[in-house]
Amino acid sequence: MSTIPAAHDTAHGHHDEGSYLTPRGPFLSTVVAWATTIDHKKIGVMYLVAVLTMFFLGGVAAMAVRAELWTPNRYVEQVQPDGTTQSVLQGDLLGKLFKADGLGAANNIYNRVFTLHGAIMVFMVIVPGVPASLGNFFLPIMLGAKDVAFPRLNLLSWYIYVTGSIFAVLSIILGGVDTGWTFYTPYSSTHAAGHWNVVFMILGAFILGFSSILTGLNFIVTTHKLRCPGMGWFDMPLFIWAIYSTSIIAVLATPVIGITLLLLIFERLFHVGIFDPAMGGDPVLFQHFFWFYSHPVVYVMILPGMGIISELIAVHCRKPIFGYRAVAFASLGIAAVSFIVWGHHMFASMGELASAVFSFLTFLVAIPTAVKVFNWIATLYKGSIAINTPMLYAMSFLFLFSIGGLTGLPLGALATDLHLHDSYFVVAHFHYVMMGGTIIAFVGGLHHWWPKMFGRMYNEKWAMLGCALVFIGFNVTFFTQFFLGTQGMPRRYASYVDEFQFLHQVSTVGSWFLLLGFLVHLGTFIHSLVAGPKAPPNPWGGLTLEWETESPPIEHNFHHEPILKHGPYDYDTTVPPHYDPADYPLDTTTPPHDSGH
Amino acid sequence: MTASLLTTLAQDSGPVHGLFFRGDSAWDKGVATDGLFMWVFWFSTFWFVLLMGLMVWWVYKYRRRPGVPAKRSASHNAPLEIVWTVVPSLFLGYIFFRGFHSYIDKLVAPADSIELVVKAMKWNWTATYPNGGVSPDVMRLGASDVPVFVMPAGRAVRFKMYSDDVIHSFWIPDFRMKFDVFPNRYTSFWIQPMQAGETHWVFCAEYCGDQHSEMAAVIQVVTEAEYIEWVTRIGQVGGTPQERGLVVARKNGCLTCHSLDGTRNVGPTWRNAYGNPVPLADGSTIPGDDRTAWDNYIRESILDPGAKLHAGFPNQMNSFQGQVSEDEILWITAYIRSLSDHPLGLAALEAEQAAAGEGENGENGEGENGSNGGEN
Repeated sequence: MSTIPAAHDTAHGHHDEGSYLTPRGPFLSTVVAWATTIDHKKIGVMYLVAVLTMFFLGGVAAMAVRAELWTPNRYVEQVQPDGTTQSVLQGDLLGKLFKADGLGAANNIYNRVFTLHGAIMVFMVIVPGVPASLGNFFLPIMLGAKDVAFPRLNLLSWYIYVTGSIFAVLSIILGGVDTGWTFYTPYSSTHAAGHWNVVFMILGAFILGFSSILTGLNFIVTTHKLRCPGMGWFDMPLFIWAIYSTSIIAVLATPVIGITLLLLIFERLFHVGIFDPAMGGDPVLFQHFFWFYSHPVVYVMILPGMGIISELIAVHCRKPIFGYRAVAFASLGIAAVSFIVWGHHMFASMGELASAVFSFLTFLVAIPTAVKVFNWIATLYKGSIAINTPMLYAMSFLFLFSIGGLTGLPLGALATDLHLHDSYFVVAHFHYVMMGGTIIAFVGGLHHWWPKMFGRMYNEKWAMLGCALVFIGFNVTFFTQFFLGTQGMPRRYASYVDEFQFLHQVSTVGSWFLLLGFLVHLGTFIHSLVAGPKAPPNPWGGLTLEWETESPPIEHNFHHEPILKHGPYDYDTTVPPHYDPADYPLDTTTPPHDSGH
Repeated sequence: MTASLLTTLAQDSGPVHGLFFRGDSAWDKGVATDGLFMWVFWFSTFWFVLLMGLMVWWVYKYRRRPGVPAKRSASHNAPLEIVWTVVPSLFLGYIFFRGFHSYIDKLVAPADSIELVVKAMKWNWTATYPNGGVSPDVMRLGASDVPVFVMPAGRAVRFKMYSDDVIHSFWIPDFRMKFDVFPNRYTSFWIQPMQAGETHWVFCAEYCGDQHSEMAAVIQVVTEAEYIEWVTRIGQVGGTPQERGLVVARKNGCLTCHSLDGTRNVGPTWRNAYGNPVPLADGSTIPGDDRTAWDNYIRESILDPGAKLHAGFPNQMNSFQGQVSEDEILWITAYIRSLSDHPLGLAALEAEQAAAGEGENGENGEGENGSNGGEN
């Protein structure tokens, strides 16, 4: 009880200090101040803007992919004005849009667009998204620190991210690449069209890797060295555990992809035979290298999302996460096992022994993941559960991520994988994990922390509507793709046999709802920034340290170095049970500055 | 026991199975794969419904209401947590084992299988039969003509696969089986078609460039007797030069990019091409009405495709130097001629061949493809 008023304490006095968002001086110097800032909060916001920009770009490509697949490409006999009949290509929406001449050229446009979608969403949105934006903003605050351990390195990471993204965008301007985001050799090293496009895209991914490494290093050191007095390892919020595990993977795995991509550029530019059998290389070697990075990175993508969900459920249920230690260790366990399962991407190209070993190990990684889901659901039991946007997103996550996880089982089992590998079943599976997991958690976390980051509340009704649209649209778009995959639709196809058209059209209609949902969110956020009511320091009644500072936080996060008095989820001990939740002391609706005193 | 209940559901899951698959698998190993898939499906459904049911029920029951105080509950429970870690692990072990068992069944072919050598190239499949014959049949699938591979019902067929260029993947959805095809090694698996009269799609499942989505084939299942007759026929390379040219074109995948009906594809169409002028990318022209110029143009385009690039087309074709013999070039040329309405085309070709008289009119008799009959 005695610890609760901490939030009120910080609201005392210091009213003139202003938040990190308060402009200092005229417009131009404010811009310069942002561009040269070493404040982790500003860098986090800059990352957020950059990542959301790339999300928009990748989203446009996704909508184009779904639109193209509305109809298959077909030659149709057509009577010309001069009376002759001619075979005319129909159904190639993107081909017509970009004035492609003939089937091959039309397909090529589609191939560039899906590569664009995949590469942007993976390398520029999902991998850096949560750690770099929300992680950057909240990791130091939740630890009670003033900033990350190496603030200048942090700014450098952002510039590296932007540089990498510019190379990728440059590649698109030059015409894009048609290799798929996986860059499989020897297609990518010798066959793919557009020499410099490929090199620039790979170079972009290579550069982005450094941003991941530096950010990861920064977070590891910050977690070790900058926890506030009183905060032991097991007093850390689970979001920190997740970001910490993520950072370890990023630091250990990213160099491998860096080297691999560099070798690919060497092969492409200087014809050094590494992966291309025509030059004495081995294309499967590339796949091993690539997945040795890209599989652990799947957990770089999902672990931060899991961390967010732990926060959302604890705070909005006002309960400690059930089995906190199990959840924390599950993060580390997943990080460890993630390094030895890469071969499950290659069951259709490896020998029997290797496949058997990797299949077995793959089932191991399922266990800590399942344990986490059980723990989250058990947390709901006897909670005091707020039905609001963050909670709806947490529930969406549990729903979608469970489907994503469970559909991993037939992909991990060898016999079924040889049917499902490289089909739409895989496409659906990884969208359920990456988008239904990471992106849904990201958007949920954004709603959860939005009042803290920008000091404004958003319209709850509209945000919940957006969430519902995203949830429905997502399931319509991607659940149909499970059926497409089992029925025989291969991935990365610009066209398909007639039998698949109905399911493709259902999927495309779903994508429109998804788009609508995100537009509603965009509108809600803009409305919040312009006209949203001021947010109190602790709108949800959270117990982690970020809720003890002001909304938005002051430049140095806290007026005084915080001293931890209770665990991150000690609702049972800090909130007396006889309290009426309506009068819950932290749930203030009046702005902090006007709250008396 | 839950496991046996699931097995029962998995075996007898008609309508749900029908949602996922287009009918039962075409062989028993595929049926076993479906059995595992449906077992996993019901297993997953059980957990999913349980978890989501609890989630929705608890969120409703414990929703925050004014005047209702929060309850206290345990924050952990070691025995419960151990149980929910160990029990799913046992099930996962079972799924792994079944998956492995069924997988080995699908990879190891019986000793008496018919071996088809499958060659993948951008963007075509060819299958060479044990007697050296190559399927000349095609079928329209989607926007393209794709090769038809004839197989006998009831016989095991083993695919020995390699690629000429990039990685491809040979997927036969009805048999629940695929394997990647590499440029630097052979890979293989087998199937056993059961029902004569069935046709099955083959798709390329590993992204391979522009026409990836057109890289398909059709497996046509016939009776053993029909198969022997068919394979004997394709084993005998013969007929007119233009007929042989069509076989060579199919075998080398020419028709994936060059249409026969005038439609524009990755490469220029062969319909009504021969004898007409061709604008080149460098601004010059292959003159029309000139047999020598045209014959050389075809020859050079096969051996060094970039040398005289047709204006408006990408430089996408690989060289066939060393893969196509001089005879085969003559046959392909004859075939391309036969597709042309130009006076030097079909009309002139038929006149020449009529003048040469009935009987053997090939340039010479010793075809590259082995002119022996079937060896079954």
